[in-house]
Amino acid sequence: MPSVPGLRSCYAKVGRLVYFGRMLDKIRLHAAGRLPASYVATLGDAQPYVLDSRCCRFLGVRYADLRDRTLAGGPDEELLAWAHARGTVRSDDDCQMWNHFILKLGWRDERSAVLRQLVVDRGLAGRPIETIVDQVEYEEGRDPVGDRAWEKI
Amino acid sequence: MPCVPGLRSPYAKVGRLVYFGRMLDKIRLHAASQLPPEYVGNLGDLANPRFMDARCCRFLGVGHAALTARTLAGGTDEVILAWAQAQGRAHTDEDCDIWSMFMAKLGWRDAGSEVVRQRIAQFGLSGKPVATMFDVLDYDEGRDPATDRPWEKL
Repeated sequence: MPSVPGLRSCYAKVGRLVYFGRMLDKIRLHAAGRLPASYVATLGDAQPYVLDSRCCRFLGVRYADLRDRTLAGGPDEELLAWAHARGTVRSDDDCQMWNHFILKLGWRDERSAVLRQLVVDRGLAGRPIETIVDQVEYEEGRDPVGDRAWEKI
Repeated sequence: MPCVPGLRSPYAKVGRLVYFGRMLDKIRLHAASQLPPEYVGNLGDLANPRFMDARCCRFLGVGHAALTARTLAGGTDEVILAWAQAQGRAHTDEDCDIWSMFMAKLGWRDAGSEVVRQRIAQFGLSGKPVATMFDVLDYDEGRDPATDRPWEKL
């Protein structure tokens, strides 16, 4: 899947969190009928291992509520503030740990086998992919290893 | 530093948490004057917020001084962890998984990577497949995480 217009990198931060902005992008694109079909299956919090689910559990908000709030309008920062006010209180430490947890997912953990299969299935063999986020980034035409994207968060 | 008797690997878990048991070992060894001096500077939660004792205490929501006092009063690791969890912050299983994974991967692709490089040189670990701070500690103390793959048992 090449770059999807309007869908930002997993590394992009809103407030203290990576990935959150990408989740908002997916919500908005889906509502506009512009989210590619291959992304729709991993939308939301129905499957516990997908990144949307992990982000919603960390925030302590239900995906359906976040979707409704997002589509009601407002900038990313306002939506994050809404989620923080409604959900679980998180310290800066919590957010830093969660960011690293998400960005390193797939390296030396229970998702490593899934990642190896994804690399094959998506035709990404030969790329220096070590995490789930690497796989997403390479699939959308970015180069997180060349850019050392983790050094900028 | 070769193997320190009574000091377990940071990968070893007590309850839902890596590292906590090692922190208790350090407290007990220090009280018994059996903790090597190289480790004493890293004890506790006051010297540097990035030290692992400090990270663990912040996560639990207990001070290292209080944890030290409770540990030296006696009891099993599990009893002391239960005390810490009752005194401090409540955590879900997922919070504990995130923390354990964060700790076990610290030093790989993060602000600790430079420290890992420094420790490899300082501890004479060049040529070992060291990727994280836990790897540094394990190799330095004579364990072989690349072969044992302890992260697969977390």
